[in-house]
Amino acid sequence: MNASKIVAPKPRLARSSSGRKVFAFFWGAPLLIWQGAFFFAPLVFLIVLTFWSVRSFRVQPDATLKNWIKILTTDYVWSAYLRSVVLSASCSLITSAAAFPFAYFVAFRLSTRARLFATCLLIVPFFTSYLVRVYTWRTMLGQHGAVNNLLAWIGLPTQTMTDNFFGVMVGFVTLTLPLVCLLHVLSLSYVDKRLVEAAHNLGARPLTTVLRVIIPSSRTGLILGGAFAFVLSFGDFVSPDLLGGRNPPLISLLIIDQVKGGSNWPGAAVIAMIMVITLVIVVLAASRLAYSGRK
Amino acid sequence: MSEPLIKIRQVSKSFGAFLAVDGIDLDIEEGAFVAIMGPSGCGKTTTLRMIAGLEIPDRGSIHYRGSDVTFASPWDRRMPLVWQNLALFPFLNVIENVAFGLRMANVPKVERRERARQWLDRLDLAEFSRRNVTDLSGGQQQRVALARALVTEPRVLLLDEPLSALDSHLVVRMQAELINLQRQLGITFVYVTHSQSEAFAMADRVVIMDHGRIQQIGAPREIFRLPANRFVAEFVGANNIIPGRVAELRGERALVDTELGRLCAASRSPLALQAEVDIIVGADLIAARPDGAFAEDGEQILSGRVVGEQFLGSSVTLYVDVGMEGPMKVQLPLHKFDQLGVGRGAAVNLSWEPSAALVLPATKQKPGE
Amino acid sequence: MSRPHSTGFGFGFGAALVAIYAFIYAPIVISFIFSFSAERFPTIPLGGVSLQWYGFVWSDPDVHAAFWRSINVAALAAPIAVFIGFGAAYTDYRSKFFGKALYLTLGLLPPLVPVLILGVAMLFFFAKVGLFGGLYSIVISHVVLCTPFAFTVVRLRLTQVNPALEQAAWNLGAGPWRTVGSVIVPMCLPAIVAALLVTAAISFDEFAVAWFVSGMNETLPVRVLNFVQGQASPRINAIGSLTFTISMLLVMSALILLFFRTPQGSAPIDAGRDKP
Repeated sequence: MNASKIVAPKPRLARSSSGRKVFAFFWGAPLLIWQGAFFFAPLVFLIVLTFWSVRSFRVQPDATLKNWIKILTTDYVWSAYLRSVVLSASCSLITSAAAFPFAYFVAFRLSTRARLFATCLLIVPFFTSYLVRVYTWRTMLGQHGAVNNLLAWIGLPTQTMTDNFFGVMVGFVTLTLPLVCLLHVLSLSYVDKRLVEAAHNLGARPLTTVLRVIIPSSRTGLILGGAFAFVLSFGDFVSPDLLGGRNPPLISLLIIDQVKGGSNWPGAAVIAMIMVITLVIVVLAASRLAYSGRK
Repeated sequence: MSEPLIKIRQVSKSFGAFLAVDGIDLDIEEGAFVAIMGPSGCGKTTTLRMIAGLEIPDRGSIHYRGSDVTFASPWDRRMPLVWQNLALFPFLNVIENVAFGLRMANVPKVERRERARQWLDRLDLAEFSRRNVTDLSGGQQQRVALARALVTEPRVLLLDEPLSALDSHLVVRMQAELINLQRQLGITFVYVTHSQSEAFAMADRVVIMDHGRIQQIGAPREIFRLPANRFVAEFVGANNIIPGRVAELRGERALVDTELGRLCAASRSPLALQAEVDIIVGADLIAARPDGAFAEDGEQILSGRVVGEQFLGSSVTLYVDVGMEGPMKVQLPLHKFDQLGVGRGAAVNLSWEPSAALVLPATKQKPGE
Repeated sequence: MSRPHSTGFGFGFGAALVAIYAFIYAPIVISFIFSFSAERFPTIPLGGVSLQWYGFVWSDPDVHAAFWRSINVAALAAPIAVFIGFGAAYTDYRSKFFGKALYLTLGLLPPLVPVLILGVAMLFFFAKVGLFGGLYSIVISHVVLCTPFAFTVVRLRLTQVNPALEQAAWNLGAGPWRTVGSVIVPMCLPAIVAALLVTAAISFDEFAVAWFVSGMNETLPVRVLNFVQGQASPRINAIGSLTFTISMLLVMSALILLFFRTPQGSAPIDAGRDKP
């Protein structure tokens, strides 16, 4: 090969920092712009809206606390709110209590492949329509539905399972159970098996091990699971509607009524803000609990 | 050869609180094979990356062919790098990898395929041109990386410990190939390594770095025989270091009081009386004789006891306790060692010529701190 | 360790496992069964088998229109979400900058906000700025929801990409734009396609926010919501089976792309192990 080379052009001087800025902006800015405009702004607007007023069926900019006062002093809002809180908290407890033994079995008693399969089975429901599942429950749990038919066939009295809190709870659990189970399974899989073995080695019986070793080790996941269940069910409006009957209403339905029914947007915004504040408190409390005392 | 191809002036670079490169000056001539060598963390790789434009110096300047490229983007510099972990593109096959640089230079497809193919032929990789790079062995991948860098016909090739992950028998072969290539092409090679043997085997000039500073620059032989300071003496080769204080100066010789008595050694830099110094004696310059045998006239003599030996193949390193804090290292060719016939615990006499010993000013602290 | 030693509670917990799967899958399985019912009000045991509901659904113009709207929305929302998500993931991968944590939080927050709140907020906001009631409204809101998922998928893939590859490309003369096109995108291609499929699936199934912002432009899930609030009919089960099939297809393809292709370039090329 002869020694002639393509004459290398002399390198350009100072780097084009403006070019680099354009590059960084092009890739990084869209997220900010889009979420800023279409996620952040609507939420901010929601807050702002709580201070606006409705005059002759039209919403107008204002700076009033009227809406807040009205909603906060309305009895049925509070009763709906408390019902929602109680039901969501119950859902949280029920799913956590049910998910734990499930996850224990999957994490500790199944082979790796079986565990993978079990986990996949938990993920499939996320891609089915929650609406259709709730609807199906309604048909199954109705007065003449499959479940009551089964009870009658056995000889037990029929139950009213829809249009009441039982129905709502069924719906809530349907919504949250797969996720909570998944979180529990993941949490428990990450428990250091050696800790469990050490506990057994030191004479701890299975129940003690669970209480003293396993639960504390997986505390974060368990608490977060409970928090998720609360948040999801608190905001759900499908189950309260289809399985709960609309009376007595839950707070999610109140919002919908205000929105779809009339033009009392500020009112709906206030209720939505009450929901948000509640949820923030719950999440913060859960985080505190989940991560307290961590190194 | 007037201007050096690459001029590095007072370049410094810190990463957070860590000062990686501390005000170095370096000239790299066109057509030279320069090795930059030093222990981990000495700043050699950072220096190379600054030459390539992958790091920007905090202070100082880098000039290439007369132009200031200190802040030029890496893609403008045309100084391809052969990476330590190769960084071959796994989604391209061998010939596409090699042609990549040409593609970026917008060379038309037919031409760049052809040129890539020529390089693959040259490096014995022609049969693999359509294979996936992950299917190749380490040595083959190494050659692909080399071809990828050279196909653009650069003036400068940068290499970052390219042989460090190869099996040893491959290393020797690749070294020979690299030397050949460099001679044939006349390209400037800047080669970073932590291996003394690699640097000495391949380079015309060796730059030794420690703690971000250049300790010595010179031809391999010069560095080996005439280390500039204690660090270089310890890092390169097998050297014995005897601390002492200057007692007398006689022209190019100095008499130094040490633990082992008054020793005579060659001095190459100005010394003051009573200055603290280190005497450096290369292990291969020490003769060992059985106890009782006499040395040549004028040689320094020490007696001691053998405390260990290390078999290196064609040579043996003998460790001899002479009353100093650490044993003296004596390197003997295997046949001489056999002739000597000593084992552990045997008494031996060590001797060397004063001109074989070098006096260096003692450094109060480790260089770079 | 794959076979943990016995820790007691075996039988009881095994029963819990079965009960829970039964509860979770009961409505899914029964819905599927009911969709084939010959009767208007199916029950267990099934009265007769028929495909009539599928037939009705197939020929219902409202359902058709809703279905195509869902497809259109997903076809628009997915690429936009993946583009934004990719950009954010690449930015996260490559740069450090002031406020990066805040940037990521804002971008990735939407899935944590209840859809009810999001839907209401968007409804009000869009109405105020005149973006309400069109297909584009749904697209916009779906992009908000789906971008975090696209981000996650791509970002996970990028953690496996050796940063030296980008630098090698620069070193060989590729400017930043060409590096993205010639190195980053090829390396991430499976993840990008998977992100498209996942975001399409999410958009396709999303009913809550769509219900709020779509006005008269119903997507399929919104149609289902309206059906469900109206009369009971196995049509709903039929639609459910169909949408389930489509979603599962999309997700399965995404999973195959992500986990079962031989990962290319997931680790730096390991030089030195001589092959025989």
